[in-house]
Amino acid sequence: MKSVLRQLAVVAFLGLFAFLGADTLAKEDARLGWGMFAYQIRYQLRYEWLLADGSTRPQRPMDLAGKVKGYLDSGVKQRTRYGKGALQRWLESYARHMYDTRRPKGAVAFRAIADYAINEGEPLCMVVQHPEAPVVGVAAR
Amino acid sequence: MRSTELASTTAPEPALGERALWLWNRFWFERVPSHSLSLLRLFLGITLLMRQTALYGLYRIHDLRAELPRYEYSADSMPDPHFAMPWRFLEWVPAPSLWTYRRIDEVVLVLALMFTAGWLTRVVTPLIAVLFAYVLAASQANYYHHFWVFTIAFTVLAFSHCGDHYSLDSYLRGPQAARPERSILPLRLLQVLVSTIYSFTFLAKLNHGWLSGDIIRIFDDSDSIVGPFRSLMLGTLGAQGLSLLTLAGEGFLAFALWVPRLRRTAIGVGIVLHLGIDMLMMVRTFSFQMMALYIVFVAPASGGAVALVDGRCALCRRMQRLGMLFDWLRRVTWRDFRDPSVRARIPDLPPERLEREMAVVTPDGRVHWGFFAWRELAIRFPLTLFPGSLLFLPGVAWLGRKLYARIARKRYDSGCGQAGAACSLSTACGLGRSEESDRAWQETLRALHVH
Repeated sequence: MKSVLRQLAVVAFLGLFAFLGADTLAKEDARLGWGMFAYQIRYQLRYEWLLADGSTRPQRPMDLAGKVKGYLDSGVKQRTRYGKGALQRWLESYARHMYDTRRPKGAVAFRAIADYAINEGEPLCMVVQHPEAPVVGVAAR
Repeated sequence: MRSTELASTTAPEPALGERALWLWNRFWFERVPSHSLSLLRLFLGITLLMRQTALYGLYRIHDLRAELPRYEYSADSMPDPHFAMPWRFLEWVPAPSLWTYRRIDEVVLVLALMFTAGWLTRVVTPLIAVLFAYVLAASQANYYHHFWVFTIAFTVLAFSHCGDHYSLDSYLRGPQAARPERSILPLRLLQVLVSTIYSFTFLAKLNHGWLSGDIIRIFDDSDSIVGPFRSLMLGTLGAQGLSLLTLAGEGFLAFALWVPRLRRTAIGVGIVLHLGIDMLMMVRTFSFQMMALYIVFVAPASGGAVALVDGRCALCRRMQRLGMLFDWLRRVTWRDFRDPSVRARIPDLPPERLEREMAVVTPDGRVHWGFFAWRELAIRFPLTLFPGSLLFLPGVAWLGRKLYARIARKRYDSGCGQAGAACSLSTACGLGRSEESDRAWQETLRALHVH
């Protein structure tokens, strides 16, 4: 039994590290898989609600403080070296939080929009939305 | 008779699968002395203490001040209690309040002291691992590379016997207590960790920004390259020089630490790389953790190098004691060449030369004499690794040989060979024979080849 457990420990350890490393490279999230300082991103965020009729309504950030505010505040230029995958996961977490706790009447999704540039290159845009596929175009109940 | 013949002709030739399994098991689970693991505990403990007291960062060496303890969060930097930026699937983990974070920082400082001293290591190490894992799991905002390395390393050490040596636990158990060989598994897992870090870092950096040096210019423009060494390093190497050297160093380290012939060079490259990074950027204790982790690549098969000394020589015995004092990893086995059982193993080594010079046989079977023997020993001891490396500079060997010959000529004046001075290193004058290293040194002498 002990022998099986230690063999499993080895396989699990190797599997975990291979997965985390591959995940870092594939998703460009430098954190758990050691893609350290591969590039720097400068980004600026804005948030909005997607309404049932397909229109949008801007939203100022809420429930942000301290270090997390430093990452997710809107209207200010920020930078990170954890990769665009990390930025995407921060925004997904925040979009879930806003949708679950602050959703106004008539809203069907929360959107975070990041205007960013890698290594001061060409401007790019990332949209993170929760839920990913809301029902739009029908009147809200 | 016939059955005996049959048995000998069909000698058990292990099947390929069996041999592969045997190699796999030996690689991961071989039992080895645990000095490396214990020394790793000591050094990793020091880096944890550095973190918990804010004593890190060569880039701010002019302004280094200890905090007791250092708190990760203040009221200003705390995430909002309503949204701590949880990891996906870990939203159920309760985020600590500022009060809790501060108590954790204080407890970890106490645990770090106990861990470094090696007191109650079997309890303290899992506790540190659990606290680190909890803080990391509570919020994405708590992620730092150094913190993640700590979490993995403490988790591995929590399942090991890292308090077997150089510890209060060991002292309290007394000198007669058994210190059995342990599975090499924790060392192997940490070796994989180190290699994985360098491999994926290297792969992630293979991009235009790093190859052109633009990234260093961007870091510099973002005020991330700071401190008193900034102008010197950037001025000497340039942005592209720095980025290419970093890339080359990390790519080299990813595999070279596994190659015995390159390992010493790799450790040197790694130390220069990490000291360089720490002189220029705020990476907390990451650099020092990586340097501490190199210990896992050092000689788990301890006692492999054999120093053959003259047991009748008082100066030799003093030098042996000095050597053993520095040999924290127990990489050297000391033997008296006059011991008949040792002589029988080294028939090709001329006794008259052994009387004139000390010999060191390295695990690859090479014999080093006199000054070169001491040079081999110096680069095997953690404290003398760097000064020892300087002995390889051109011209130093010439000077060293002259000096060694001078001392060797005079050594009988200091009591060597006198009547009544005869004794064996492995008995009265020695510092004790280690059963655990018997296999290693005997294998070395078996591999000996005289050039």
